[in-house]
Amino acid sequence: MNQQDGRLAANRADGMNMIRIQGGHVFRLTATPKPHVLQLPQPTHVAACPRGFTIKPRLLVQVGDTVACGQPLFCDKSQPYMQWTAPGGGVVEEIRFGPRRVLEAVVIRLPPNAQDEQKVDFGSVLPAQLSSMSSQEVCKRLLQAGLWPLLQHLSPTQSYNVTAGDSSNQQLQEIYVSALAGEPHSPQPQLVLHGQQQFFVLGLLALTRLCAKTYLFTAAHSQLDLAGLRLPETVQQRCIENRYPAHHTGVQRYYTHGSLQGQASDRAAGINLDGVIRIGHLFATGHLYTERLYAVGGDAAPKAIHLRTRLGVKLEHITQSLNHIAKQTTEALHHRQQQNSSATAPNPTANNPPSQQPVQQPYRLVAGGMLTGKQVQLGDYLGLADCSVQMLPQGQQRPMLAFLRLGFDKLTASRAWASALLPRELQHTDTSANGEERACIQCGQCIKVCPVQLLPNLLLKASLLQDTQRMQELGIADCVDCGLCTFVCPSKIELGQHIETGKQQIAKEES
Amino acid sequence: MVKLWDDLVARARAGKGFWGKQRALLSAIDNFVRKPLRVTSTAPHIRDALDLKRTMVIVVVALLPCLLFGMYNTGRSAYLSIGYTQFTVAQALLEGAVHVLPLVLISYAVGGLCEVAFAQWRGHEVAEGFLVTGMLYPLVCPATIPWWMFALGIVFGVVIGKEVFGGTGMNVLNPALLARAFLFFAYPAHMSGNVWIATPVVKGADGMLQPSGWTSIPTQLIERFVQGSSQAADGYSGATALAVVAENSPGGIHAVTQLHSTYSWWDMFIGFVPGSIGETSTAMCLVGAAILIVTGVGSWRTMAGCVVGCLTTASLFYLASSTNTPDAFALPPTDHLLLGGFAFGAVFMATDPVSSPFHPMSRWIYGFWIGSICVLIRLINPAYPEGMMLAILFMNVFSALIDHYVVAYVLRNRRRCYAQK
Repeated sequence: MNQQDGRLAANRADGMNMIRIQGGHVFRLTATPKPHVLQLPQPTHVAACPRGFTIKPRLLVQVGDTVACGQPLFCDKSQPYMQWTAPGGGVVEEIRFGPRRVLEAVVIRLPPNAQDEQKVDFGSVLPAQLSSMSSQEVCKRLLQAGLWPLLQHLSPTQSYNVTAGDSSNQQLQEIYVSALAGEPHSPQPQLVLHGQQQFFVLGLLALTRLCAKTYLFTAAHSQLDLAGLRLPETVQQRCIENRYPAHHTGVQRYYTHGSLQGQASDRAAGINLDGVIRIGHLFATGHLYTERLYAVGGDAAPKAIHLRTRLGVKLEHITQSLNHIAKQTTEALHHRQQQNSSATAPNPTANNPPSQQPVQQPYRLVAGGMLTGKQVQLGDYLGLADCSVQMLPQGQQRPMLAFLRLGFDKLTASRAWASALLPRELQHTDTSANGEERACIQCGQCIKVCPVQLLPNLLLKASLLQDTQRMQELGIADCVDCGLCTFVCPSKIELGQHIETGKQQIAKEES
Repeated sequence: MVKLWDDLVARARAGKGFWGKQRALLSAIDNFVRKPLRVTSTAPHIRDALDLKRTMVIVVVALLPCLLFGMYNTGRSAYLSIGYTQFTVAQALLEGAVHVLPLVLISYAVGGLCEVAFAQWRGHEVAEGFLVTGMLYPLVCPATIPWWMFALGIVFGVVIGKEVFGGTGMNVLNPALLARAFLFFAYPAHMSGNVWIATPVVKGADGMLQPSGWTSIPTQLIERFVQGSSQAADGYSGATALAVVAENSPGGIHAVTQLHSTYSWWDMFIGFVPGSIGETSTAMCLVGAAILIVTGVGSWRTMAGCVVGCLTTASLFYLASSTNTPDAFALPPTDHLLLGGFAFGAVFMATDPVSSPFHPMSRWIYGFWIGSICVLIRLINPAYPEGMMLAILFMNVFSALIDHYVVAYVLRNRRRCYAQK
């Protein structure tokens, strides 16, 4: 038995079956969303966006069409059965294109009265009926409802953002369900699950129909309580160390089966908690679940909190509501202060009007996590893949001789700043690269943090040389795009981008 | 003021006219003094606070104990060479500073100039790696080295050792060590023999001692020494401890006994022995090693590998030593760790990430061979009493090869692991 194999076995045997992750990083950040859920008012518009999926969309609707919630809006050109459906019923108001006519969003205006919204009925199913359904039937229904893209493909040759293909001819072997908080500032699983337990169980049941093995991964010491649930018996529960990116189903697959290298026929897919609940809703009610729990975090967010609102909402809708709440709380605070001060002694400063609004610093909006998400604008819409919104301050400060400081406030995975001595302290973040780009000095930081034990520095070199064979030898198929290698690189090299280029090249050569 | 400077740097970065020709310099100063203004363009949107500047500055800080002790030791031996023992620590430090600080300045100024020139020529930014090279280089040279020769060495190290390969990160050999190796082979008379003591007196053409300039030692002290003791021309030996061992001393005294009677174990550990400026003190190297290991900047695996390799090889020689073998074989293995440039090389030179392998496993192998080859050169090769510099340069060349085989091994395991399932 070789060393790596022994390690995997040891990981599994470790008490309580907790799987330990080599590498990874535990982020401790300020402005983490508080565990309160805020219900936002009904938005006027929702949209479906292909952001986060590598597809070539073909439009199925036109501006002015009336669509029902669940009706297909666009599909993938090469796999027309893969379709994205309307997150709400209404009129298609706008079809937005980006540069080079890349489809960005199909915007739907919702009727002013929520009861007028039309919904496609896919037919509800009882749990007993579901457990006797064939995998083809389940698959067909998921494709119809546009929920299939929620299953991420964990195939060796394709990029991780590619959704699992048509399963009618090739059945999935394994599905990994991730019930972990994942990236910093993403929704907490216990809040996502709250009130949705029955749908979660039904969704899991549907997934067990699709494949031979279903794994459910939870974090060690998580607040998620699955004890009262009657999970399908075939679901194998696993407990994994809660380090970023343990939430990634690719990492979970790696610590279950080892490297994907050289194995082409492995068909595995991953899905998160929210996705399972959506599938459960589809089977239980016959309709699409139109809401989603979003987490909003980051040091520029007026309030770091969880929000429940429609799926595919405009970012402005979220930020406006947050600003409104933040304003209300500051006003309430001010009001209370005024009352207090007038009760005790007349304070001349208290007479100033409440004009000290928090100064709006320039910030960056990110849909998704701060390590893997995409930069978006206020007018953009959230897509099917986005569960959180980050508001990060732009790193425009230029302190003098900062590199000579002890650095008790630095966010780092290394021990080169004094903040490493305070592992409980929370760190601020901004978008500063914290340095200029330099040549690789082979420091080995990227090797240390890689959660799937790759050698990112060699992948970088192979990618620059466009040596696809070498990249595959190095195990590029296992890379989960977690962004940690790019995060830690002291030479500030965009490792992730180069590796992504390599993956695209491999995909192109193999197609 | 800040606005004026911003304007100037912006004009330089635009690359036109007179200021465009100063781009590399101005940009380097700007990014050195202030945090660089660069934000992430894609995911991940946040980045680690660690950059190369911080990494390099930590190495420089780790070198400071060696530099300070080197200055003290230089001043101390200068006073001792004129037979004066009543000096204070401050006096010794001052005398050492007079000899050492000009070297540090020359190293940074001349080497930095080469860096800036190449950065300007190639359209690069000045890389921070030079912060370390510029400090390492004076510490591995004798305090008596002529300044022009010293400057020539750093030019060779930076240009041939680094820039022709493409700058920091691309070099095969450690630039500071290469600069020293250049001097070692080009000007052997100034790099070995009795060159270690920066004495304020020289032997004149008539064989009489004369005061020679560039010292902070009061003139009357030197005068008194020159007039009073012309017979004590070689009163204070300048031979390094390893040279003492290598030259099988006359009179039938065993070299190791001779060594231990010349320098006590404590002297060798603290560093009160002749040698290059920074390398004599194992104690200060340990302080530096602690800083490098705690901050994670230097690889503890390389350092540990060096120690293991050195001890193993030296033990073999020690066990094999008899009356028929050279005296040096009988040097206790632990003494090898204290003598010459071993500690300095293992802590600061071998851990240079660019010229060493990157895989944790390779670093053990790399370190082991450095320690081992160092002892081999010291004991087997009669021409070189010291072997650390050559051992590190030798293994620098092999580091890519070590990585190649270690990576092949790791990847084979990765594949096999899956196949067994």
